[in-house]
Amino acid sequence: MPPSFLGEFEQMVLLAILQQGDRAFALEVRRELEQSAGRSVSRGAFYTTLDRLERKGLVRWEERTPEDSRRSAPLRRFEVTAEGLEGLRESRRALDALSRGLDHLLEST
Amino acid sequence: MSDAPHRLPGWATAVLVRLLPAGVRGASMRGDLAQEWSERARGPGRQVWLAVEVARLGFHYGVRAAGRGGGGMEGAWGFAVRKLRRDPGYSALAVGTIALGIGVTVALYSVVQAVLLDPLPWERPDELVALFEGHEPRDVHRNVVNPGNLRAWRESGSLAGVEGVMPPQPRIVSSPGEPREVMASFVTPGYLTLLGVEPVEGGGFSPGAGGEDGDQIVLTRRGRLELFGDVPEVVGRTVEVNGASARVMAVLDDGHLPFADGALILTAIPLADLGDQTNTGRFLYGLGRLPSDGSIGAAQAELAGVMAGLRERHPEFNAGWRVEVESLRTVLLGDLRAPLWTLLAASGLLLLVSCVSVANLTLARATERRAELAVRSALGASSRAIAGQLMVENLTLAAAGGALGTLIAWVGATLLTPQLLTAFTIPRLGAVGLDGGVLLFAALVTGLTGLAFGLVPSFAAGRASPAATLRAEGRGPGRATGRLRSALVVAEVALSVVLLTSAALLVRSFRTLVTVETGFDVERVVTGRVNLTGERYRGSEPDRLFFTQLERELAALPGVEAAGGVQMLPLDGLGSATSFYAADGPVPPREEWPVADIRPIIGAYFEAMGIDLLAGRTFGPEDGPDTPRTVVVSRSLADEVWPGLDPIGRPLAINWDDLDPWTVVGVVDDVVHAGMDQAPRPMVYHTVRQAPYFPFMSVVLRTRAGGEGEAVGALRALVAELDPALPVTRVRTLDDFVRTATARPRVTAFLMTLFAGAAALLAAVGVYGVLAYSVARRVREIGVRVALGARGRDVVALVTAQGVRLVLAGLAIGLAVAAVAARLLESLLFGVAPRDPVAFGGAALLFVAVGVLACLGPALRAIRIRPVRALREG
Repeated sequence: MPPSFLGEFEQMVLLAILQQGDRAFALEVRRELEQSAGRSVSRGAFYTTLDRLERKGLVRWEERTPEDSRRSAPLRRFEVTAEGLEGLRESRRALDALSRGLDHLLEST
Repeated sequence: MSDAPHRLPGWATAVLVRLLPAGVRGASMRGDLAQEWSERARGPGRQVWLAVEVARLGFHYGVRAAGRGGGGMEGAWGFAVRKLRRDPGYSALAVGTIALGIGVTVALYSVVQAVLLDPLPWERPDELVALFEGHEPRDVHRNVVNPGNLRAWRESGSLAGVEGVMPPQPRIVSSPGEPREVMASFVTPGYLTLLGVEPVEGGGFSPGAGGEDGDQIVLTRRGRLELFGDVPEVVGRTVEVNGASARVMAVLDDGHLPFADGALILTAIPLADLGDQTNTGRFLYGLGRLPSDGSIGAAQAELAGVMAGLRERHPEFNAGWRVEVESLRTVLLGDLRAPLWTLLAASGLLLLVSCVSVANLTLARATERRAELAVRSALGASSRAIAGQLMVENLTLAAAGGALGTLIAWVGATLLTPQLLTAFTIPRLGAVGLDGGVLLFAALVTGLTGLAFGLVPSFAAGRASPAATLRAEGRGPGRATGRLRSALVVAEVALSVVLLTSAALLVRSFRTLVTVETGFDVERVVTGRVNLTGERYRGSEPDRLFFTQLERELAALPGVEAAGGVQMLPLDGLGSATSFYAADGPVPPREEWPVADIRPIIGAYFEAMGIDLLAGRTFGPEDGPDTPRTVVVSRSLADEVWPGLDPIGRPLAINWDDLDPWTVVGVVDDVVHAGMDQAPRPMVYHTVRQAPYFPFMSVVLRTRAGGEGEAVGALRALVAELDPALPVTRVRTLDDFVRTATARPRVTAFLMTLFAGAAALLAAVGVYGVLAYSVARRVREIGVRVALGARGRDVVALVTAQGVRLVLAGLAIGLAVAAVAARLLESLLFGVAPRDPVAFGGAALLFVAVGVLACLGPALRAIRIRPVRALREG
């Protein structure tokens, strides 16, 4: 159970990681965010958010070293944890509850 | 990810390794960036992109993360502010030091910007040129121009416009209001159009002004206020100037008018009415506008051709004279460049000294805080975070210093500007003040200052390992910090020495200048000017009568030891000059005639001025309007024309009304004339009774002690008795003329001394700080030495030696740099060599003294160390 609601940006990062599946490397996640959400994401803020989500236990990462290049830096592949998923659902439920009966306003035409 | 290894350029990796978190986290961030880098197209755009990304990451992790714990950016600043508040002594000292440097630099920059950098305030100012005549054999340059020659230049069509200006002269305005003296310039009617000056009221001169369109004047705003007060409409009104009525055509905004500065009235006069080569001399400043595709070189070449024709047509007048075309900017501002840039550079050096000084202070404080920093480090703060935290603190200090400094600059510029404007006779090109450009400069300087003094301590602190620091606690920090601080002190001393030698050179140059033999004595001498205007004084006969009457009455003035008058006082402007030759030999070719200044005088002028009579006599009753014409000449004239001969009784032909010789009856000493740094020029004096020439006279009164007020009052009464309509104007002491003539070097030397003093003080504080700190660190060592029999003298020597080493090292570097820098000062020096040993030696000695004084405190503390306590506490 997450201690508090997720921030908007945190939710977006978590969803972007889920969208990328097993290709959820930091760079890809950031690009997914920029494309789907249409907003530019500062590199520093993005990494800081990832670090915070990791501290809260909502994401975890594993180290992958690309096989085809000896000198490349290691990459981190991110994964949303069960807590992370639960947090997303929680936020979604709250949003749904708040949105009830407002479809005519919120549906895009 | 298959394509090639994603590798960043070395510099980016080097920076990022320092900034980003350690381990896989940081490495993967670099990896992400490397991949994006490899995907971008090669070219300068990619480099710029990378630099921006690295800078953004650097800001995020280097600065923002610094306040972590408080959380984010606000935390970092807040933490820094809390930290600095807790140590008000240090903060105040640091902020004050920075503010001093920034304030002085910004204040001078505001002057430099307004005077040298801002464009001249006229339409397409780069096209404007000044036109002069020059005479190579006589070494005369930038001489005023003959109206006939100027007209020929205009008619040649080489320039897009040519106009003439006469420098401001006092004139009497008798209506509206009471008669009073007002400065006025004659200009040709196209003057304002040539400059592109738009009047604020009215339209300007009509093209026929001064001729068929009648007399016309234009007022400056100040002139409007002076003449009319608050009257709503002045255009179209008439004004009586020197007895002639003229119509007000327009009002100009107050500002700079080339060659007519200080004039409240511009009177239009057609160039054709000013005479030509056959009936008048050279008295106009020429102003021209280059054609839009023209250059100064081309204009100079074309006008030189025109001038060659003029020499042929009027050889008796133009032989040897050439045309000189110069950019107006150079003519108006050229002299100001050297002193103003020098002062700005000096203020920059002072800023540098204050940066080094604060770096030193910050380093000392970081050392005192080593326990705190070590604990933070041990609790998990990365060295990067600690360096970042210090950086934020330093930037906070710099920002506070910058804000205070800008305030100081504002006050300084407000106080300084009038001084500088007077001293440098700076044309007021736009107001000096803190505008956008100056504020931008201030912000830039502040940022650089913060970086300059912040980087060293931040990185020094960031490097230290917590374990080593905690272990070393009680024994003081590592040697590295000590060495760094010593290096900073050496730099401080060196920079201060450069400033101090420069100041010493300028002060010595100034002292040489004020001890120049002026040839006159300023003690108890007051002067006042009488200007004959109005219908009564048409033609020269009434002038002669008036001055003769004045001369008769002057001697009887109460409170006066000697009284006389001259048409143009020394150091009061150029006055008139003409060519001459000794008439007791063959007549030399015209272009070889020497030039002398001509001064009509009245009364006991030489006695009143204290000018020594060297041979013969001065004028007496025997030199009247109907007796043979006589002159008194200056020593340099006599030496030039009759070297080794007795000049008394010899004839002198003066190219003035005619060439009939005058007889030399006396020789007086030379006086400085055009400036204190100019060699005296040959001078011819004659009595006004034999030729008045000009309708004005500066009366000179040598008073009895304390009699100045009485004498001036009596002079006013006397002039009013002779003609109630005439005021006595510009009452000044003779000393005042000398002070004005030396104002520029005085202000330059004064400011430089101020900067050097401040720098020397900062350096002394630096030396003191390092030594005091070193003594504190070596308490135990000194205790042991004392316990083993070292005497007080040995301890003092030990401490002092360290300080003296620092000072000597700084001195050596500083003197070497100063020897080079002094070359740049050369144009500002008078009678002092750029490597003047007295200035260099004096600066060196002063610094040794400062160093010894700075050593005293710490040394005294060291000899008070008690071995027992030292050992117990250590």
